[in-house]
Amino acid sequence: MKKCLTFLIALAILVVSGCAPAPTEPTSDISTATLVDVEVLNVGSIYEFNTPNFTSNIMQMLGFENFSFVNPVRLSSDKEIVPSFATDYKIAEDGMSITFTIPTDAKWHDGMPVTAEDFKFSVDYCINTLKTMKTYFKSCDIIDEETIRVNLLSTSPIVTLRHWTFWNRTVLLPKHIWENVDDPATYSGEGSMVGCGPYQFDRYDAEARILYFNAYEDYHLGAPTVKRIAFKLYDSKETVIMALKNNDIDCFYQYATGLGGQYADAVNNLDGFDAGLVTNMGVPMLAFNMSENSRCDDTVRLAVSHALDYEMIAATLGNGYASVAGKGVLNPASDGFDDSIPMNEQNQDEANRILDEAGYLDIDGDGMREDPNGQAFEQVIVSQQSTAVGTIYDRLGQIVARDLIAVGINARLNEDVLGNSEAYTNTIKSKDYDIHLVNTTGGANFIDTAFKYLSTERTGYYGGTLSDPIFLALYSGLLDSTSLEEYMSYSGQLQNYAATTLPAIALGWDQMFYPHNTEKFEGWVIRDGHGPFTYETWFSLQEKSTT
Amino acid sequence: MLVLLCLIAIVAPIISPFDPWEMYMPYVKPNAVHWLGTNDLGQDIFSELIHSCRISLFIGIVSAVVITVVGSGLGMIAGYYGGIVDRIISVLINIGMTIPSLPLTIVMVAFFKPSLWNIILAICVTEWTTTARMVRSRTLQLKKACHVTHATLMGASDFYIMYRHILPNMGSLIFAKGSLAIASAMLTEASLSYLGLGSPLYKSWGMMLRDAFNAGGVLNNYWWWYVPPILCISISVFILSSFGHCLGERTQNERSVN
Repeated sequence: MKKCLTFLIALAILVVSGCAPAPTEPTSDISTATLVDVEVLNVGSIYEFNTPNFTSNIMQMLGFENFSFVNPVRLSSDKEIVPSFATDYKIAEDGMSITFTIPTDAKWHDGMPVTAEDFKFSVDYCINTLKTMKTYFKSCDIIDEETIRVNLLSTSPIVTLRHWTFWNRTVLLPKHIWENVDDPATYSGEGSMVGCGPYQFDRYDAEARILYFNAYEDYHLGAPTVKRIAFKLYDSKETVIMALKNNDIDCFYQYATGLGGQYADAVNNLDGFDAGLVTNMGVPMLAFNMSENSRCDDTVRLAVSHALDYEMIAATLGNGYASVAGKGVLNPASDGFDDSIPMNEQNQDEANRILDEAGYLDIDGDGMREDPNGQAFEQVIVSQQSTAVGTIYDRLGQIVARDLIAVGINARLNEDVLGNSEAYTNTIKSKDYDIHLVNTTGGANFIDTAFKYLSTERTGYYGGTLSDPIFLALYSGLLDSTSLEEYMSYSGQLQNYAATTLPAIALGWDQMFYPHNTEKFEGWVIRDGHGPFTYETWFSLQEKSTT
Repeated sequence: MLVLLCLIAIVAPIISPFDPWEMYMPYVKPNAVHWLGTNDLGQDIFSELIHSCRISLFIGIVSAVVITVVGSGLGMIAGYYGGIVDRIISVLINIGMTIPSLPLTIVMVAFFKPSLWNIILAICVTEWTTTARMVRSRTLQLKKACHVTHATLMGASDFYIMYRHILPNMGSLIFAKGSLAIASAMLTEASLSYLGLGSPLYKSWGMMLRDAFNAGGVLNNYWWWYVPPILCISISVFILSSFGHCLGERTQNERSVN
C-alpha cells in the first residue's frame, strides 16, 4: 500500500511537471534593430521530396508559388493573375489562344538562356508526355523569339490561365535537359532540378529530411532578399506545431490546407509568431453519390440538408474559426459568389415530414426507416483520408451519421477506409458509397470551382458522379468562359443549381492558420488562402538585426 | 483498487453523468456540468473516461483469458508429453518469442480492418508464448513429483493427471501470468488505438488519447482531455502488474516450502 501510494504521488508529480509551461527565453531587445537580408529561412512542411525533379511531391506544390520551376503567370498577393515568367499576356478576341511576351535575358539555373524554343517545348511536353492540360492545350507556335502563342482546344482562356497559376505540371522546363526524358516521374539525372525561378536547388539531406535552396543571383527579375531556404519536412501538422513551439522553423508552408481551428489555442500562443489567419479558399463538402443507381434521390438529399446540425459541424470544424455555409456551396471568397442564396439551416421536423411524405417509413419498428418499397435503407458515409486533412472528416462523419439517425435514416461511417488512403481512393473510384465528405482545395475552387469534384466530365478528378445534362452544360459554360464576367455568371448559376438540386452541401466556411515569425523577420506578404510563404515575401522579407 | 476498477466498468452506464456518445457544445473547458469538459465532438470527457474503462478492461480480460487458456494448454501438453510434441510446440514458442510483438500486432490490425475483435485477436496471437513457456517449465518439474508418478502407476489417464494433479499446482503461476497479461493487453490496446488502429465506433482510453492528440487537445494543452486517460491507463496497469507480481512471489514461496 505504501509502495502504491509512493507510485501514485510520483506519477502525479510527473504529470503536473509535464503540464507546466516550458520556461520562456528572454526576448532580445529589438528597439535598435536594423533590417538585413535573410541568411536562412526555415520553412516547415509535411510534403515529401520523393524524386529530385519537378514532379516530386513538394516541388509540385512549390510550382504554384513559382519557386524553382515557374509558370508564365502567377497569382499575386491580391489574388490577381499577373505575369510571372512572361512579361505580358493577351487573350485573343475569339478566346481560342493566349499570346505571351517573354523576356530575353532569363537564364536556367545551369546558366543556359531560356528561349522561345524552351517555352514551346514545355507546352508540347505537357500535351504529349505529361498528358496534363490535355483538355485545354492544342498546340504552341513561336511567333518570334519574344512572342509565343498557345492555341486552345476550346474557348477557355480564363480557366487555362487560372490553371497556369496553380497547376504544377505546366511549369517551364529546359529543352536541353528534358527533350530525351520519356518518364519524367522517375528522372533524377543531371539537371533534373534545373528551373529558371528565383530559387536554385542546392541539396537534400535525406537523413535530416531538409531540402536546401539558394537564391538564384542571375534571376532575371532580380535576386530575392531571402538568400537561403531550408524546407524541414515533417510527418504531420502536429509535429509542425511542435517545431514552431521550439523555434525550429520560421513559418509553415502547405498548399490549401493550413492549420485548422482545432489548433487555434496552440497557434495563438506561439511566442514571437503571428498566427497568420487566412480564409480557406476551399470548401469542406458533403457530396452525394449521384450515379444512376444511387440511393440518394431528391427526397433523401433534401431531407439530409434539413437534418444536419450545421452549427455543431462548424464548431467541430473550426473551433470558433468556421461559420455555417450557404446552400450554394461556394464560399464568399469565390469569384461570382451569389450572396442572395440562403444559408444552410437545420430543421429536423421538416426532414421527417419530407421522408414521411415520400414513403420512407419505419415499417418494422426498429426506429430506422425503410425505403418506399419496404426494403432496408441505409446511407454509407465515406470520409476523406489523407495526411493533409488529418482525421477531421472522420469526426464530421460521426456528426452527420448522428443527425441522419435522428431523423430515422440508418447511417454509418465506412470503417474500412479509416486511416487507409488507398482503400478510400478505391471506394470513391468504385462509387461504393452514398455520402462523401471531402475537402475541395483552394486551387480547385479558384480554377474551376468546387463543382469540379461533382462533374463526370471535363475534370481530372476521379470521384465525380453528377452527369445531369443541365449541370454539365453550366459547368462546361464555366470552363469555356472567355471573360471573367462570363465565368462569374456561370459560377452564380452553378451555385443556384446546387442550392435547388442539392448534389452537395457545404459543411462550413472556415479559416486556417499559417504561423510565421514576426519577432525575427519583417516584410511578410500574406496571400489569403495561402499564407505568408509567397513569391512577394521572398523579395520583401528582411531579418531584424541588433548589430 | 482492482475491485473498484471492475465495479466502475460494470456500473458505467449508471454512474456516468452523460451518454458518452451524446454531443453537446465542442471544446468546452471543465465546468460544473461537464467536469472534464467536452471533446471536439462535444462529448462529455468524464463520461467517456468511465465508459472507456469498460472497453479497456474488456479487451484486457478477454485477451488475457484467451492467452492464459491457450498458453497454459499448449505449455502443459508440451511439458507433459515431451518428445516430438514438446519439440514442435517449443519451436512455435521460440518463433513467437523472436518476433517483436508490437510491430506484428500493428501489421495484423492494419491488415484486418480495425475493430475490437481484431485487436483482441492480434494481441492473443502475439502474447501467448510467455505463458506457454512458463507453464511448460513448471509442468516438466511437476510431472516428476511423487503424486504424479503414483497417479501414472495407478493407470490414471493423461487428461486426468494434467487436470487433477498438475493444473491445480500451477494456479498461482497462471493467475499471476493472467493478471500481467491483462495489463499487457491493455497497454497494447492503448498503443494500437493511439496509432490510429482502433475503431472510432468504441471508446477506450487509447482512443481518447488519439482523439485528444488529433483534435489539438495535446498541442493546445487541454490537460483535462489527455491527462485523465493517461492516469487511468497507468494506474490500472500498475494495479494489475502489482497483483500479478504478488501472486508470482507467492508461487515462489510455495515452491520454496515444497
